[in-house]
Amino acid sequence: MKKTFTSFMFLVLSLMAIAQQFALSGVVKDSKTGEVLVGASVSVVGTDIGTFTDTKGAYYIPLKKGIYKVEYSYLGYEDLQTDVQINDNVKKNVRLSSSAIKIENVVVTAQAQDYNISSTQVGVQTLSIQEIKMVPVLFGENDVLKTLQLMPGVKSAGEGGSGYYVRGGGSDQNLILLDDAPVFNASHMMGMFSVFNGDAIKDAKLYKGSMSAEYGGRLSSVLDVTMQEGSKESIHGQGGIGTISSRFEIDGPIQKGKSSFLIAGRRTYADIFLKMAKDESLRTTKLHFFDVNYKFVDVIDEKNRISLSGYIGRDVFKFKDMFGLEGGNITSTFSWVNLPSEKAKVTSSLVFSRFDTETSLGMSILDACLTSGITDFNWKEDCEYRLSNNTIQFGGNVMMHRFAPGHLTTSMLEQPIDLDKRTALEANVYVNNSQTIKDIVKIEYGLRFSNFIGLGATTNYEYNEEHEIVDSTVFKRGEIVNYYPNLEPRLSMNIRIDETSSIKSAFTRTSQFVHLIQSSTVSMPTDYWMPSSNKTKPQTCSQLSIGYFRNFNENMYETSAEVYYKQMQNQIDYENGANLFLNANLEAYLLYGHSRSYGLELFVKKNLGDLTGWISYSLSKTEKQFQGINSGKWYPVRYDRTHDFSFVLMYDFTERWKASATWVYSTGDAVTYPSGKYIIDGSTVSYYTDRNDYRMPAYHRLDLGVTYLASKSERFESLWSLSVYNVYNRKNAYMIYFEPVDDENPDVLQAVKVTIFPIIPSISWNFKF
Amino acid sequence: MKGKLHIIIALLITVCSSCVEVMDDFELNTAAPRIVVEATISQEKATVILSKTTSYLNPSNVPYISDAKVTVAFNDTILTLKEDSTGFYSIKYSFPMETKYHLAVTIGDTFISGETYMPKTVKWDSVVVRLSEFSEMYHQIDSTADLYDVLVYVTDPKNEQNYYRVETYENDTMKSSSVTDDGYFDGQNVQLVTMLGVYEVGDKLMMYLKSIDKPAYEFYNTLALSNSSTGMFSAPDNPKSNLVGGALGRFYAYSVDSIGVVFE
Repeated sequence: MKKTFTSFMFLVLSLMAIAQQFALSGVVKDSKTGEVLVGASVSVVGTDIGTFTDTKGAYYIPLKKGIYKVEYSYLGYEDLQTDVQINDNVKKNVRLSSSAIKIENVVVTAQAQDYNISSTQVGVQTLSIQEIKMVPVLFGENDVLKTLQLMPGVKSAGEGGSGYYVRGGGSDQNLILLDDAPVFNASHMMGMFSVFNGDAIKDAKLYKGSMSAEYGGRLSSVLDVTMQEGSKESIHGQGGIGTISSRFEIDGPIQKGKSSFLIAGRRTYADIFLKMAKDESLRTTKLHFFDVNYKFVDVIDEKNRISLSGYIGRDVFKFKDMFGLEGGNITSTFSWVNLPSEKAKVTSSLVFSRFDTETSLGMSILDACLTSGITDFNWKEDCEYRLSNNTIQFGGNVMMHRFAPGHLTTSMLEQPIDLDKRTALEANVYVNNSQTIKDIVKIEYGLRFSNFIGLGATTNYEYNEEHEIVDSTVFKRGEIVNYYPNLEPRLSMNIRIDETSSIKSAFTRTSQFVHLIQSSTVSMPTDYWMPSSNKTKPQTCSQLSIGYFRNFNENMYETSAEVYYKQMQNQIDYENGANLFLNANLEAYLLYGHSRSYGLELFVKKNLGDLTGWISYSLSKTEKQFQGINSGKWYPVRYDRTHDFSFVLMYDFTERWKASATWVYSTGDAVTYPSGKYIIDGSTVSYYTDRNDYRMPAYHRLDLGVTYLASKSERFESLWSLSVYNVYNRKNAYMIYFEPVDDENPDVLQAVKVTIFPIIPSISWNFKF
Repeated sequence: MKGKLHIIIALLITVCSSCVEVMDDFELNTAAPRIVVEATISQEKATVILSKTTSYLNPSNVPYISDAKVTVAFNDTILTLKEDSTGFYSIKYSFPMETKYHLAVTIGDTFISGETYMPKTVKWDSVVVRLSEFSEMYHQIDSTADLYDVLVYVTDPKNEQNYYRVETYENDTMKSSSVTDDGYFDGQNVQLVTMLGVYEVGDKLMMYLKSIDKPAYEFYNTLALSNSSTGMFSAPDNPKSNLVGGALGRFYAYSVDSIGVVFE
């Protein structure tokens, strides 16, 4: 009886404590630029109560009545301590000043120092723009996507390219968001450079293991890229002149302290030199890409904030009127953040994204023009409600996809070829809760209900084994062609073992309704997106991951070991002989199968000190199984690289001199080569046995970079950076072909490898004001 | 201009030679040999070549197969082919169009069969020969030679599925061969041959339009894919064979129309 009474009293007291709870909340900003600080630490001195500012710089701490000493800190900024009296909900906006000397040395991500062990998410990689700018890359063009490829579980799609594969997923299974707008083709020059201009990017976060229920639409990963905001206090700018491109960025207040703008542009200039050529055909040749990023922010009042941001980029290659290749993305995002109460946040966004390509030939023997594209409109509502131990997020979106897979006009034919334009809707709702149980267990659980609705006008075909149409159904404009609902549970958990270590695990289910039809491993103008149909079902994926995280030496070193297992259903491949080019009946030739991937990922990172960097290693296997390929047996995918190793070092010699080095090693790609040959019509025909049974030679490469701060003052800073790609000139095989050893014996062959990037030095000059 | 071009070419060669390298230690497996059948029926003749696969990098001489029993059957006729030389079997006969043909090959205990259809001929429509728009540009390389466009047209029969194999010959040497279906141009007048070349007086061009059946088209289409696959594109596969019994190769019949151009 006594025991029951005590329990009862305890319960009442707890309830009273909850009833008496108030909150301290506010926004943390940079004192100079007015920019919000994401991930700044806010802690109550002498207790273990604390939190971090969210992506809008806001924080919220539930506190009981009393007087507290609160400490605000952020890497590269002076700490700030202040006394706060809580007898009601208190709002406290804070400005931190950057610690002038150290700021350039900040190479740690904009997060709490022990974020990796305290967050619930497993399989998340964050990159700050400082890290991205320090890592040496091809032609000295800083690149978010290429730096990401140095992280465990992320593999490069090809030499020098910006495409990537995450834990065995295809490159079209990565959702790439730029301020919430999906970017359909994240590369320039057929994959050589990413569309992300370092000057306009604040940070990039890659979710490869667990993603919150807020995200969906792609199977494998989410890369959430946030654009930089302009300063609300004074005009700033930066730029650079590099080997390939030049860039310029300017930002500043529109109305001081209230609104800001940022505009960043970049253009390559190979063709500017061509203009100096004597030859007319060279002079009129166009070969460049450009991109522009912009962001406008207006803080209407303490509770409302709006922003408009976007990206416009285009690749142009034109040789006289004879050959042309053009394409690019346009995205724009309008977002309104409203704080109805201290505990709630509502974000409304309108998003537009478009990708299109145009290939043209203009010769008297052959005249042709091929266009294709995809357009997305998205309306999204996200709500967040914070309770003492729970943060509930819920929301939804309605998205319209417009597919224009291909249109060709050519002098070869009397009539144009036009593939059906398609329309589809995606309507999704989600709910997600992050809960802390006794400071030891953090659990995040959510559910996403995704719905895909294919709309007319279109015709659905049924095919027989001979690929002939046996039945067709015509749908009128706006008529529902197909409907696919999908439930996607998401669960992740963090069990804190002690101050410095934790175990995390996650289960994630995702689905994907749009499919990329791709003829090769590099992005080509003939690639196009198609919606799910009656025959092509949505792709689904289940992933289980578990990891051990431990930090050493007061978070100077962070380490982690993760294992994962992933299964993907309704994967697409093509039947032998499928014609991917403008084929209205392509679906007759599609094959559906499944794939699986599993692996171990190890990561060691040194965050602080003059020497920083990381080592990442993945041991993994990715296989596919299709009825009709490789006699139905499992086979490795091309990018099944068993071992994948990256070593990144950054060293600050002095205030002015800094150096960085990257070394990568990976098992060669799994490829198919002949195991015999025969003769038909007098020509040699290769005889193949098992799919992807051979291996390319192992890939490895060292890159070095040095930066020199030539001048630095309050008002102007200039920096030289030199980078060398493939320092020891490793001849990595890009492709292997076979040719006769000598002319006398044309049947005796030898293997010849083609290397595309030998040692390449590059230099650039960068400035900031 | 000529000098400049040479410098550019020399530069290209230097750049490219540094990125191409023979791999001495690269080996390929040699799969157990398989039977290869190359069986063809034209309007005048049936030929069958029997051989086996060899090692890809270090092949022996092509192992032709002798003493096989090879027959071709259609309607009520059965013809046995005669072995002219080791592995080469043939028979002359006036084979009719719009007919289905059956092949039977017996090698020891192995029996291989196949069937194919000879469609009726589709005739070339017209040919256009003219001085190319690039001819002037080409004069900078060789001022005495002229560059010509050669375009050949066909009118595809409407509302029937047609499959073509197009072969071009220059002075009796094969220049190109390709297959296409009429999926993009059913019933239309289409430019099926596009040639650009330097031709001199006396040069003779021949263009053949072979009408074939769907399995033959699929064989050649997948053969082209298998050959052009350089590794960057999706994994190559064996050409789709229409033979039954585990052999590689194909059995096809064609009817043909030709058109010629002689430069005078």
